[in-house]
Amino acid sequence: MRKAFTLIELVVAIGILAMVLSFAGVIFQVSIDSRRLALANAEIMRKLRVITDQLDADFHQLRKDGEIFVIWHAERKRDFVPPQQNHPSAFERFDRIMFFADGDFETYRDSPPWRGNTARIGYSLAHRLDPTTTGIVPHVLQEPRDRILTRTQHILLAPEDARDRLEPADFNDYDADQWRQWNSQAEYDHISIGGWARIPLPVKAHMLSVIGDVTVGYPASSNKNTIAGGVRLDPNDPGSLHVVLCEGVGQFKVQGWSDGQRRWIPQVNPDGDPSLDDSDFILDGGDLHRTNKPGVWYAYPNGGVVLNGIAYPNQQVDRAHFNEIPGLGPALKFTFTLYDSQGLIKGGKTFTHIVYLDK
Amino acid sequence: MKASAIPSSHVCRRGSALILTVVLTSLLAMVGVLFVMAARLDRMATSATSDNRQLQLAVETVLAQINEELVEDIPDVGMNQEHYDYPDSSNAWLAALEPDPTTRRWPQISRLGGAWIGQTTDVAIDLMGQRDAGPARVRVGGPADADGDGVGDAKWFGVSGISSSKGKPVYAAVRIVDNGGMLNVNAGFKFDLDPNDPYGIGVDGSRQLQINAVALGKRSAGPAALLEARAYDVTHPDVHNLRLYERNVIWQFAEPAGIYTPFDLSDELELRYRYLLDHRDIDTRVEYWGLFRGGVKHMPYAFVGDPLRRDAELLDWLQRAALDGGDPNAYAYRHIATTHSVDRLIAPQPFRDRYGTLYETPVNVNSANLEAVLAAVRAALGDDPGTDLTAAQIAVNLVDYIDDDSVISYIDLGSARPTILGYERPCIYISELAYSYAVDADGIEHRSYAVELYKPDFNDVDPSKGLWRLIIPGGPEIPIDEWSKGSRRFHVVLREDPLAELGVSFNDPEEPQRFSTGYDHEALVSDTLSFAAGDHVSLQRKGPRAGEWFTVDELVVPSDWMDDVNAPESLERDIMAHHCVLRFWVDPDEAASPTLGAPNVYQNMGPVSETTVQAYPADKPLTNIGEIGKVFAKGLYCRNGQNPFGLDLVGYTTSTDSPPEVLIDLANPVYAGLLNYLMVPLNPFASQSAVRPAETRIKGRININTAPAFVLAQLPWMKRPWRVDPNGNRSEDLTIPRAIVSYRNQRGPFRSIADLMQVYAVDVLGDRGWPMRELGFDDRDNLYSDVPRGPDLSPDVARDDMEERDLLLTRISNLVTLRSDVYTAYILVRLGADGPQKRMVAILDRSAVSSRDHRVEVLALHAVPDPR
Repeated sequence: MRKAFTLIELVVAIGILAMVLSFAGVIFQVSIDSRRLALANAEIMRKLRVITDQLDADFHQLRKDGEIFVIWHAERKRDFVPPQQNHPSAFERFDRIMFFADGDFETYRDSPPWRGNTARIGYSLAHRLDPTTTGIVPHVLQEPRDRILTRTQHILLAPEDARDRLEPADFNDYDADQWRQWNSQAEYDHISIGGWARIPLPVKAHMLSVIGDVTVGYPASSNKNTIAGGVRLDPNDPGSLHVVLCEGVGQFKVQGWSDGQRRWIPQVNPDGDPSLDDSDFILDGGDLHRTNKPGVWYAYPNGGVVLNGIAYPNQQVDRAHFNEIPGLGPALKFTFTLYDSQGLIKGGKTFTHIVYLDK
Repeated sequence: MKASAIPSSHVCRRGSALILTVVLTSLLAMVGVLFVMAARLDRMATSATSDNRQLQLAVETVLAQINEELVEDIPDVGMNQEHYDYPDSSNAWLAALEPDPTTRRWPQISRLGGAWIGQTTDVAIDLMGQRDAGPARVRVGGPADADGDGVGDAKWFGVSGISSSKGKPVYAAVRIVDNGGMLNVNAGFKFDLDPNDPYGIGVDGSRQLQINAVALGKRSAGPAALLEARAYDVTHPDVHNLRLYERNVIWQFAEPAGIYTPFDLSDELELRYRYLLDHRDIDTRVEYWGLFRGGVKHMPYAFVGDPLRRDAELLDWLQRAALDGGDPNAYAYRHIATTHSVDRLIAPQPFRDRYGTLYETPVNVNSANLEAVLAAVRAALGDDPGTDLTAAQIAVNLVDYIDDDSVISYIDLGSARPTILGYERPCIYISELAYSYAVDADGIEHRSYAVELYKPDFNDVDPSKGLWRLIIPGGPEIPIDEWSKGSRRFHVVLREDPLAELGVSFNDPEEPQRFSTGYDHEALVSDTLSFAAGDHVSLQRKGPRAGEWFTVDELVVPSDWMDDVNAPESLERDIMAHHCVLRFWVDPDEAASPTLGAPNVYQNMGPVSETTVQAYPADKPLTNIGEIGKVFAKGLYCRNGQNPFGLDLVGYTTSTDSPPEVLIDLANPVYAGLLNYLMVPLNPFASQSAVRPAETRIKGRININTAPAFVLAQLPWMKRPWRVDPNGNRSEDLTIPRAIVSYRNQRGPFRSIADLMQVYAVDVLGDRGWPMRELGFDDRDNLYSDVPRGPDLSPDVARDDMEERDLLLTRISNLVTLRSDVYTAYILVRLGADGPQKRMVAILDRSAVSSRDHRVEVLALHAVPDPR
């Protein structure tokens, strides 16, 4: 008689095999997840280093004789928990900053590249052009992990250089959208740092409104086009790619240390209570104003500080009082939330980085 | 089992296993190599990041050492710090800006913190190439190229206290040069002798704009190009408004205001780049304007083994690095141009006045009170008790020379010491003594006496009553109160017997119409005037304190002068304006008729060029601090005709005083220190509220201890444009600047601006040697009509006198300095002897540092871009 396994034996064997396989599968899955998580963490750390190294390099050579322009922009997160709608954690920031720095800069697109010692640099989260609808997707409407931190770098080239290009001084001849395009895509400004400071104020207001993605009300109202502000990325346009510093940056917050108030400025809800009364942001009916945003424009005589509840004299927005200017001061703190490209780390990871300006 | 059951096709060929093994082994080896390479690349990537951070840390460490050196070097901060910045053992950290082209050596290279690197003076120059000459390994004390032009200019030293993560030592090489030795393209403008100059900035050395920065502009560009290059909107009318530019840029220590956009740090970084190399891909505004791109090099000089070729390369470099090394067309003007140079007014040592007030800056002679001036002069002359009286005398003379009152300044040194009196307007002299003796037919003697008084300057107002008198021993005092008698310049005190007539006639041909009214042209009659041989005829004025009278002039009546009978006798003084004080009197034996009330016959008695001094104080602020050389160092008045303390008074104790003996002789090393403690403010806006009056920083002055000849030549008058060569061409030679450089190379640093007086220059036009102090002589009378104009801008009719002797110094005295507060540091650091290296350039400003707690401001710390 031919030997054979009994049914019981088969069932037991299959059971044992299934157990072993499922166990192995779990182990394998955990291993895979751990590896993915490790890679995601490594990716975030790489992004962190890219951003912090760049911030360090730029702010180490900050030119205090140049302008600094910061717009603070807070929005309530879409997934906030209703009773906690005013809690600091319910908000995310879309701040932007522009300043001048020394460095060894070169352009990305030109061949051979143009090089220079001084550049106008801007950090902000980007709006994106939707390739399917050709509409604009503002950064606030993008999923946090889809947001992109941009760094625009405009090398200051001598005005005598006769190459054909848009000049900031000629902004009067162009509309805001053209200036936005220039600001987002070009890599040089045809002007000196002193020349920038002397751009006529009405013109400057238009330019700053584009850079800051706001309507500038002082000293002359800008003619900001609602679709014109900020940095816009077009995935189909390689000409705009050089501004990409880092993908997956959920928020970008800039705060300055205030010696007087012993805290970082501005904050949406400094004391963390349910009320926004003490907010540094502009309020409207107890909530954040939908359009009016605080900011600082350095330096005197044209600059100023707009903050809720903090009155700072215009004539002290100068180099001599730099350390006291609310929102600037001896150090800047950058807070950004980083996401991995696979979306494995839900909610991302939030980091802070401090650069010292009091060199 | 049956072996035959195995199909024949399954029979393996012999050696198959070996092939399989080899293939598998090869595959494994390839995988292994790839793995090792990947790991290595990964390690290199990690290592590069780590190395960069360590190099940055090393740069910061070196920068901290430089900070310490610069802070410690400031007078009043470090102990017994010298008051100059010159590359010598006291400033071992400071490197010479240019090499010595004749010896082909660096006079000095930088040494930090006493690090041992061997000899740092008179260092041979050799090519280094991109990284190192010969074997690419560092050795301490070995040659290094800190600034990156391919030519050795420093030595390696070990950075103490740090090492690389792999335990290797960190090496650095540093070269620190003085921006004060460079020509400031923001503060300077041009020097133009044309009296119709549309920009009208003058040629008196009172403004930095008179430093000829246009010399660095493209030859085809004029002065307007520089103004337009420094402005935002070239069509704006303010572009050419130099006064506004001065206010908004040169004396603006915040950001420049107005339409002006002076060259900035971006330009500075490009000018500094790699010493004399030009970065091909970076073009800044200053390069579009200036001589910075013609014939320049872009790549570092390469190290070559062939000695002949190496020599040729070095020669090429020397021509670019030093003008005296060769061709002006090859000279790399970028290394002597700067956009940022500042020094500040700072005294060599803090000093106190007699009331304990502390001074840390030189004293403004134009506005300071007497005590402050006295304290400064005492500090300058030293504590030697013998200089005490001199210091007091100089102080009162200075104050009275500048103030526009008629009150004599005085310093009371105590009851046992003399009161020191200043020399003050109005200045009145005894200009003539007349005597007539006659015997009539009855045998009666008739005598007439007259004393003529002379006031050289028409602008001097007449004194009030009760302030002047004549004193003749044996007679009563003769008050001189009626100044309306006589004429504006001449007054005669007369006692006249009609039978011994002297003949007074007021006739002053030089008198301007506006001064001719108000005077009665009559003598001031005195019934008591009388003198005899041997009498001291003293003119006295009342002092600032009650009961005090001072003798301002005196004449001893010659013994045999009054012997003649029946003929009026006159004793006349040389009243030429610049001889008055010196008491040139006519020989009593020479017969002369009185000229009472009119200019004397005898004039110009002394040698003109050597014996001319002021006849009265200027009574106006000094334009340049060098003008103190016009002021007396000795007193002119003595108390009530007495000189019990034996003061050495001008013209009183001796009649042979020469100007260098009686004036503050800046060529005399005793007085040189005065220029370190006294100053004239350069800032014309100091009194205006927008500019801080206490500001002591000054932009764009040139450090005579570090500036190359080309830079010095751009100071006013330094090229002697008034001199014309035999072919009729104006002089543009560098005789004086080269002599200055040569002097400091041989004799060491200038410790006072007045040390320039010791420079000996060879006059290429006259083919002879001259001391620099005589190079201002121009054989002309210095009238405004002189074309071309000479450095003497005032028509004083005294040709080539002591004033002109000092004029070159005077005209530049406000625009030069002995020290500086802005430096450029080239820093090269390396991990290990042959590891990665980093090259940085730092622009450092210490003008706000006044204690060890302060840090030097780092205006820029810039990674030096790679050459392309």
